[in-house]
Amino acid sequence: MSSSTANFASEYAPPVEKTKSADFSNTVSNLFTRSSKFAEPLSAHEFVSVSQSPWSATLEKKLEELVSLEPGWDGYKGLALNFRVAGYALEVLNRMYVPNVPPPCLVPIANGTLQAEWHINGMDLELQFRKTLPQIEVFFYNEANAEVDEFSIAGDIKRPIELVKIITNNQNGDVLGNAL
Amino acid sequence: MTFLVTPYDEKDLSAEDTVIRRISEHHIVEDSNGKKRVSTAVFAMSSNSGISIDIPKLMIADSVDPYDFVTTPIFFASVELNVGDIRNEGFLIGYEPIFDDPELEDNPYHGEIWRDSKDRPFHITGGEKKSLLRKSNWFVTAENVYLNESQQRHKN
Repeated sequence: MSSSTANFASEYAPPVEKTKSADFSNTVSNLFTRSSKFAEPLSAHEFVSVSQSPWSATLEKKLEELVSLEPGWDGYKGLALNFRVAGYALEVLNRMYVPNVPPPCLVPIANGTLQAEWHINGMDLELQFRKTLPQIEVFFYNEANAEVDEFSIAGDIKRPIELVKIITNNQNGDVLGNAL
Repeated sequence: MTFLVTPYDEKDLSAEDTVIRRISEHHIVEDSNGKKRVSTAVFAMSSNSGISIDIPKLMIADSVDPYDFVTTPIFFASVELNVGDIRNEGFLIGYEPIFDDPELEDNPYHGEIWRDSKDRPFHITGGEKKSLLRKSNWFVTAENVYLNESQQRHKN
């Protein structure tokens, strides 16, 4: 576990024991297979990221804020960001890292989920992480020609990565991975 | 408690009536130029499979000022939508008052926007969220925050 991830987790739970940390296989699918055995919300013990990127610190700081929201944060019935959703979003977004591209804005959704969004060069790219993990709703909009692309994914982040490159004109950017 | 209302369309709300959605700081995002805008996530579904709103028609009937009711230091801005525009997008609008919920403040003027669909659970698409945002107008303006294209044209 990296130091930045450890800092994030330590806000919510005692330090993870070395042996316990070693239990987590380094694939996100295993993480969520384990997670499904626990009642929601997960403790920080289960909130372990297996990927890091230059976006990590920014994303983790914001996610830390969003999992701590008070009920009714939106003026109505808003729930804090669900730990499982936060962990999955962190994993996905770290793997979507493209050099020279800013991290997405993270916006909480009242049902405890999350929307990640970029608004670059007159284009919008939004990823809504659903509670039914690993489902993500992707929405792309190009203001110049009103082009819309809207689809769901369940683990394969190749198309969202391509869209990040399109909105940033960064066709040759390297990424950490394109599938979970 | 929150009354979990079965989605329905409130006949007492006419197409010309409006509803209000509060904006918190969490709904404000920045584009790559550092300009602030309202996220479409403001129109994402809440825990009860609807979009929470305030209904000013009910406030006015109770001699409550809608501006005073929905505006606080935390909820510093809000947008309004015409009921007719919401229905034209295929949604239903109804009352869902909140009383005596241990975690929430009472809100007798709370309502919900639901999808007119037999599918469960409800889901709102990115395109639908953007469409609702486009049809919104500021009720209480967030200074220097972009709302939608029509607002921008109006300013120009």
